[in-house]
Amino acid sequence: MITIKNMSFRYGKHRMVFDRLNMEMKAGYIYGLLGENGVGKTTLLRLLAGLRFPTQGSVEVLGFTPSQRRTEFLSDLYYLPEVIDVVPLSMNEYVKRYAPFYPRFDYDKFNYYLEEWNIDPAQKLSQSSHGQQKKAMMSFALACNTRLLLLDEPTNGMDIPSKGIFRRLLAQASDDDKCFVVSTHQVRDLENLIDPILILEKNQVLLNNTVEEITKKLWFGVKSEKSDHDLYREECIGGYAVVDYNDRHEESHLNIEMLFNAAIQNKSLFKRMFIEEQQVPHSDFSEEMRQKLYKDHE
Amino acid sequence: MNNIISLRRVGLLLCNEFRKNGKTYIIFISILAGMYILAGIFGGIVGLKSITGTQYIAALTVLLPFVIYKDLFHPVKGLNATLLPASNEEKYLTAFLQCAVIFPLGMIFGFWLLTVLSALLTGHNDLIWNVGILFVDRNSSYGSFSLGFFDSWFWQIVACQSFSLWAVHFFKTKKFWRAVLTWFCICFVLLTIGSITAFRIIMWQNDGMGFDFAGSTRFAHILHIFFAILLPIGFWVWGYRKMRKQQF
Amino acid sequence: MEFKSDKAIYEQIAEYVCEKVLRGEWKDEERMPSVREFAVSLTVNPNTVMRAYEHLERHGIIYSKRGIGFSIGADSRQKAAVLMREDFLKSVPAFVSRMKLLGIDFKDLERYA
Repeated sequence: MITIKNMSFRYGKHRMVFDRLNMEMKAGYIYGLLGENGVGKTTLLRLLAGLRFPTQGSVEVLGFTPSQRRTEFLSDLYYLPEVIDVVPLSMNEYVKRYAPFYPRFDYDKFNYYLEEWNIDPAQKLSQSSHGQQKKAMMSFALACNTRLLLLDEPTNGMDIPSKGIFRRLLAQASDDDKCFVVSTHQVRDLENLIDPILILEKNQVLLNNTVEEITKKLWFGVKSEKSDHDLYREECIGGYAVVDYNDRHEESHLNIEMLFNAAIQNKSLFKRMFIEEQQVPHSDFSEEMRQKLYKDHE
Repeated sequence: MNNIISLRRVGLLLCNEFRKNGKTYIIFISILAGMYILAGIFGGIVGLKSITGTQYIAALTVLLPFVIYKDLFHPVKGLNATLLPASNEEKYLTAFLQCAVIFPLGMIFGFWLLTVLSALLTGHNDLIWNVGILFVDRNSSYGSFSLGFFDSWFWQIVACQSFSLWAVHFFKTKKFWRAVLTWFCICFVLLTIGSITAFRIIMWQNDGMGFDFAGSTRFAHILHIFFAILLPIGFWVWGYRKMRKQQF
Repeated sequence: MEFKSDKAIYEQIAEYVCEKVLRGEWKDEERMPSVREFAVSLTVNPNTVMRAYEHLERHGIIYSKRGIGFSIGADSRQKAAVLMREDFLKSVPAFVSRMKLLGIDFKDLERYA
């Protein structure tokens, strides 16, 4: 569904955001897009939506070039940004104006979502709380039934029960021909739902793999002692919570926050392990790790 | 062609524009009506005759794009418009129709109605606005070289608006002020060329009067066609092309 | 659904199914929810449910038929018990070493039987 080839993107002349990025995203999945602040998550979403154009290379989404902004492309894509444009319209009015442009818009589903989130369709968005605005626009986004849905920090501002409802509605809305890309810092809100996981770093992708692929190569758990080849380690009750190379060949429960920290601490290692899919021989592992630790701490 | 421009979608877009901007239009016509009524109250028939409406409508028409498309390409407020499933062509056509056709014609019609009403109320039929002359060439000094409709008051205000429509698509933010700045720069450049022709052209543009030398020189003809037809079309096309390339 | 952090999610889902089978709540030849339905009810990714179903299928607890979906297999209680037993026994060494650490004897456990 999404193919990015050798794509570079720069703001102005000097702010490089992506450098010859290569990436694919497929239908039927809910991608979690993670990365530190300022690394380019929103820029990537905007590149996919055709709001920004690549400086070099190509971006292909749903078979189209997003920058051309063709009607058939736009009608199969919905981008819900982090900061919503709060219009002085009620959801009833909003739907009347904009739903007709989305050929697969589902009015029944839309009303169902509004009910689930307890949103008054007659109340103007500009007179609702931030959380209500978010939920109202999310209802619209989901009801558009587009094949590609891009969500930027969807749970930001949602209260706890609403987050649970969001999880359920997102799971319900997902389908084999749809692709959701969710950019978020609140990984706990989306734990167990997002699979595959994409980790972005400055100019590069560190990880674009399914939970299965990750837990086959990495082990997450608690160990009583430190070890030289821990990829990431935090103190906890019972010893240390670690991310380690999975040499026991058993699959553990993926902890996304730990995974993220491990990735940031071992950038080139992750890139080699997951993007370039090099077999990292375990015997060389500890030596490499030691060197890595010294390099990263410089 | 029907994949790129669908009349149904253009119709939907126009409906949405009216829903969005309806209040603005009502305010505009109300101000004009207010001025007219006050002139009538304080000036009687003479007062009513003094309000011609042409200057007011001309000013509003030229400024309209800045009011209506203020948020176009804004990183938050402009998202919806750009991502709305309609082609660039349909969106630009909607903008053109709304600004250059529907609004000015609507305002003209509205004011005309007002004058008809005042004529009915006062019995002075000469109060009724002669709308016909707005659409034919304005100046006999064009002589034999007249471009007909393209020399009319109506076309001239729409041609001036082409600059605004261009500016609104060319600049992402602070559109009005950047347009004003650009306008001053253009004037400055033309002035520094220093030729009497350039000076005369600006005078022509500023107070809407025809060239005061008979349309006999070829150069005058060329300039005439350039400013009357080529320039506005150029701005419209440039605005469309810039719209397609806007990133935000 | 709330999941524990000590085991892969798909395994926990498989365990959940086994428990239902062992308690007799889900019987032999009964239709299972589809992958997607189940994923929605647990609010997890459908891939994860798919892996759980594959895991259970490999151990003969459920089977799939084209056009019908997944159903509980024959002898499911036996097979579920085998699978859960294997898993339970894996946690015993840690339990025993903790007992030793705390100086608890096997005899002390008898009162819990």
